[in-house]
Amino acid sequence: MTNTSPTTPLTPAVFHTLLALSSGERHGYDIMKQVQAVSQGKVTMGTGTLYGSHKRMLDAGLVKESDKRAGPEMDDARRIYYQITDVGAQALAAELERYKRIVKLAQQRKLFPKTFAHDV
Amino acid sequence: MTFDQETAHALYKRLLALYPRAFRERLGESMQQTFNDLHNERKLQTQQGLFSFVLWTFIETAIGIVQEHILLTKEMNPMENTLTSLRLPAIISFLIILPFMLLEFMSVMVRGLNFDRRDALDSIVVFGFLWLGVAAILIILMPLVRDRRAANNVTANPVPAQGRTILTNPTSAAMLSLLLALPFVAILSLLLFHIRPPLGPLEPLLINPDPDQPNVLGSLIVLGAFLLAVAACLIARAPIVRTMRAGGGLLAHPINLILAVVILSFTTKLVVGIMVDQYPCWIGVPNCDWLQFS
Repeated sequence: MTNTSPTTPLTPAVFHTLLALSSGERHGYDIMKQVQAVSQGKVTMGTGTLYGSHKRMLDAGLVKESDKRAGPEMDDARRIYYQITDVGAQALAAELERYKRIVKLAQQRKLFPKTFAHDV
Repeated sequence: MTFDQETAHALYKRLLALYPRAFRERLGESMQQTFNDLHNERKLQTQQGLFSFVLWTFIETAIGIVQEHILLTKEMNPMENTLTSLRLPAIISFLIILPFMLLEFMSVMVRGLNFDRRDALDSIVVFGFLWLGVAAILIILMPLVRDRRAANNVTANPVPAQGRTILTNPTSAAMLSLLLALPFVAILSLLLFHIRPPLGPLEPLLINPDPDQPNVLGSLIVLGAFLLAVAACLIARAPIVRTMRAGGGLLAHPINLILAVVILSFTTKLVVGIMVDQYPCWIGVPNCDWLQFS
């Protein structure tokens, strides 16, 4: 059993999946496309990684299966849609808060390259 | 190389069948659908073959399968019989021999060799035997290693905790495993010392006069003896595992331990011997089969 809680740091796969689901319910393929788009192609998840993390997220209550189905011309009975749960939203918020703190610390210590420091 | 879409989908479905049952039933169909979507997308995007995409997806999924089995093993009740979990050793051993299979495949492709029915049969026998051998070694060693790790957390008590059966009684297990291992030891001894026993009417069946034809009966006897040896090792190991699970030490049953180590050493020697013997062929050395005679 996974011991993921809203305060535990998230793996990149879980973080990106939660980020993708924060804007709406999606099925596996859609999540992959969304992750690829948001990360500008830098994060690529295969089906094994994606569904392995899905299983652990379902067990930990971060996401749940949704009743949503697309139109019959688009859909397939095997396609399962997922939605983020309250626990998942809390975990995502906690992770983003961690990122925010790290960025702030990096700014204070002037760790960003000069060209980038002005934009942050 | 081009891949027929239906073949790729059917193969992926078979691959998904290797996931643990609970995982497969929950997410298997969804994974298959996602693979189909990705495959269709790639097909529309590129006019080139989809081999690299299919290969990458299969390898990535195979890694996921191993991870799920490892997680399942960690969650498993430590008292559960390890023989109910044969799939993990089978998958791990397959992944161990996979690079060698790919070496042979690439060697044949690069050199443009004709790969006839005989060569295919030889490869199946060699890789099948290797797979079986590595899996047997893992099946024998995995519970010992796991229980050895767990032993640190248990109060020492060398007496088996539950009822004694023929497989958990150390003396019976030692005798039974010795009897089972005898054919293997006999065959290996004959091979090691180049002894040719008088076979009488069985000679034409066991010794093939045509070296270019596979000797099916002889292969079956060697395979049967090998399986008996593995069974013997598992039986000799049973009281050791049981005692370790009860908190006892590895040396509580010395005869059983000696038997298990001896059989395991023979099995490992056989597997390593096949690998060393076949390695020149896998990396594409010309006339590799004749190197030993030159």
